[in-house]
Amino acid sequence: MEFKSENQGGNTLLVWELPEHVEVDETIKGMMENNEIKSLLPFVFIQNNLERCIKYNISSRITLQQYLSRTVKKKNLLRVMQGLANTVIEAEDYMIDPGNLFFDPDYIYVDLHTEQTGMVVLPVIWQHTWDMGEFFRSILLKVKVDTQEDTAYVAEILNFLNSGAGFSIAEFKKLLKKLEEGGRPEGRKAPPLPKSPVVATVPKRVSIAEEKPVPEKPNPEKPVKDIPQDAKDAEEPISLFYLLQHYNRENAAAYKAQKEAKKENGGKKEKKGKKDKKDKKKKKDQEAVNFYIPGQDTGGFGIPGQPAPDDFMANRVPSSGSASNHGMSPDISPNGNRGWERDDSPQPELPDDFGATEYVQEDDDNEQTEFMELAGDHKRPSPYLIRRKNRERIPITCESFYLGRDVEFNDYPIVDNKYVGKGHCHIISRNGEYFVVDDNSKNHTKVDGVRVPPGEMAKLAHGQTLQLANEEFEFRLF
Amino acid sequence: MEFYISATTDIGIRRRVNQDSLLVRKIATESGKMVLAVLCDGMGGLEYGEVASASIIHGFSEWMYRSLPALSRQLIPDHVIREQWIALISEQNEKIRMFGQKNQCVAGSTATALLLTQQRYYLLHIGDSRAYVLDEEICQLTLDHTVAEREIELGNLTREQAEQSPMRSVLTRCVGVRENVYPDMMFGDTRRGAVYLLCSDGFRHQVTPEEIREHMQIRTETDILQMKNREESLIDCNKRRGETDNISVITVYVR
Repeated sequence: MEFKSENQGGNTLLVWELPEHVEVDETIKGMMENNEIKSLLPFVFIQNNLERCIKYNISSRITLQQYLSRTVKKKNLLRVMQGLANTVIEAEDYMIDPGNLFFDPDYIYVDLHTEQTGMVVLPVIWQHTWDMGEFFRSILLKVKVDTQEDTAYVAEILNFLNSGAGFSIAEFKKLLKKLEEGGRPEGRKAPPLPKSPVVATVPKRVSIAEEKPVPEKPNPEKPVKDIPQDAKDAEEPISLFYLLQHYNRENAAAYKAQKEAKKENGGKKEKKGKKDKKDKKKKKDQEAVNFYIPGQDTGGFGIPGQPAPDDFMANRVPSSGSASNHGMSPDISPNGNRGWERDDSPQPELPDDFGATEYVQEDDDNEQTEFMELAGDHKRPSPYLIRRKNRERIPITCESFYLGRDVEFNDYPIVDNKYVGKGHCHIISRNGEYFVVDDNSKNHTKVDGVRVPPGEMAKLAHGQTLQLANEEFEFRLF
Repeated sequence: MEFYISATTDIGIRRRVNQDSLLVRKIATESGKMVLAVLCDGMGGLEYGEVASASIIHGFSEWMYRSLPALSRQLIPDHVIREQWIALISEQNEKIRMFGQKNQCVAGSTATALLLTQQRYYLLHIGDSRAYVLDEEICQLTLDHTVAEREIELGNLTREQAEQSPMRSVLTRCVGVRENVYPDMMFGDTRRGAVYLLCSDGFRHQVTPEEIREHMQIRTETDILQMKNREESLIDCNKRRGETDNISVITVYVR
């Protein structure tokens, strides 16, 4: 069985040229022409003298083979398999024998938008029986399931297929349904989604004339409303990190008390008393004041009381309307001060470099062997794309690198361009060279302005422009 | 490369509350020094605008302490920042939206965030605050998410007409109003000798981009010391020309 690809305008067609000896099954042909069977690919039958061909519309679809070559989640795999099982059942409703369906993952097509599978139906008279059990088994053996999920369902399906009894599509469908529903404990439905509030259009900025008068000027001493935290936050112990961020006398005392209590309890989690809760509340209030409240002289985000090194910048926001220069001069303000209040209270035990230019580092695992880069490694090409719209650098990180709008399927999802197909194209590497393959996209793929026919490999050279619909990328090898 | 930072905010001549919030931090990491600058302009009137803008600032600050250490061991891939910041903004969007619903108000904010490393800059933007890069020329890095800008794109307004249009301050995107939020992400190579500037809309309504460039361009050591003065000078200029909104600016010079 040989298929060819053809392009007609925005449509990608799969073409089967019927051999001379093959007789058309008029019943199946009629059924397909007069009904819309979603799980079967629509086709047109064309005859020109003795030459006959059938053209199937596969626009904006990728093959099942491509779909399964990515990591697939349980719900997606079950949906696809159910779709295939439904196809067989539906076809029989239209008097189409399963033998007339083409069970080849390279010629079964998936619409990424709906995850509906579309099978090729062969409207010809022929005697052929597919081993459907074997077909589904081969899918499971090829697919890359998401190992972050519970993969017991794969074993269950394989057990069913290996059970020895004859394969029943109806029983198989029941099993898939059961596995799909088995995602939640029995008797509990998923909670209903909260109703979205009516989204008004973004309101016009309110001019001062329309504003309601604010009763009083915000008082620096008064806690300012903040987005409310979870109640759970109030019960959490003060970490050293938190203290460094929100240092003041109360927090330091609370941290010290917490440390001592921990020592006494031998490391057990201490119960917070009323006093601690009070400190917590005070700390929360202080947190609100110490945070970036514009227009208020709150002492800013820097840690008060510590001498700043030469290049440490306090990001304190100065008072509104003030003509003074305090706060943000690069090294020194005109009046010589650093712009925050000193706090001479006794210091907790803090690292030696406290107050210095902030050094952010993760915990260093000294046990870990450092990776040694071998000479010459840096010369291997590291291909990437640059998206022209925003200059984003997109490294090509695998042998088949998929681009398109679908977030789950693609290696680089292009979510903000509706003209890019869900599964638009992919870049592959062969013997150190790179090629792009169009995945039957509606708005086409081009290299330097030349359209890439669907399913064909077009070479990508350094500096060339890759275009997906109206989205441009520059391909670079280094 | 070395970074020099400065920032100023002003309540303006008419408002009773400053709803702008700012964050600018210079950070030393294993990969060298970096700067994180975030500017948010709260909207909607009353005091909830500043709560919204402050919340976003807080979110970025937490991200800086929580996630940046691990990322900064090597060159940070663009897509990593994109994924993390979009998740951060989505989380803030939901938080502010829920807060607004609970308090029966509309609390929203713009957000423009810039991370400058030794190699790359990463820019997130939603709303009508702006990011510029300037040296010999001034280049606007962000596109305003306003009705006026959309009309320009559709060809219904010229840029001059849009500047005068009341639609110039009507946002098509911001944080905290709609269920889904779609910020723009931009990337590029950090340019030595350039000044990166983030500002709220109040900072640039009454002054031209050329005036901003003339004031804020760094040519000498003295210019670095004068960064703060220059910001305040431009703010005063805006106020003299009748700007009523809050006015905020962050400047980062790369040497």
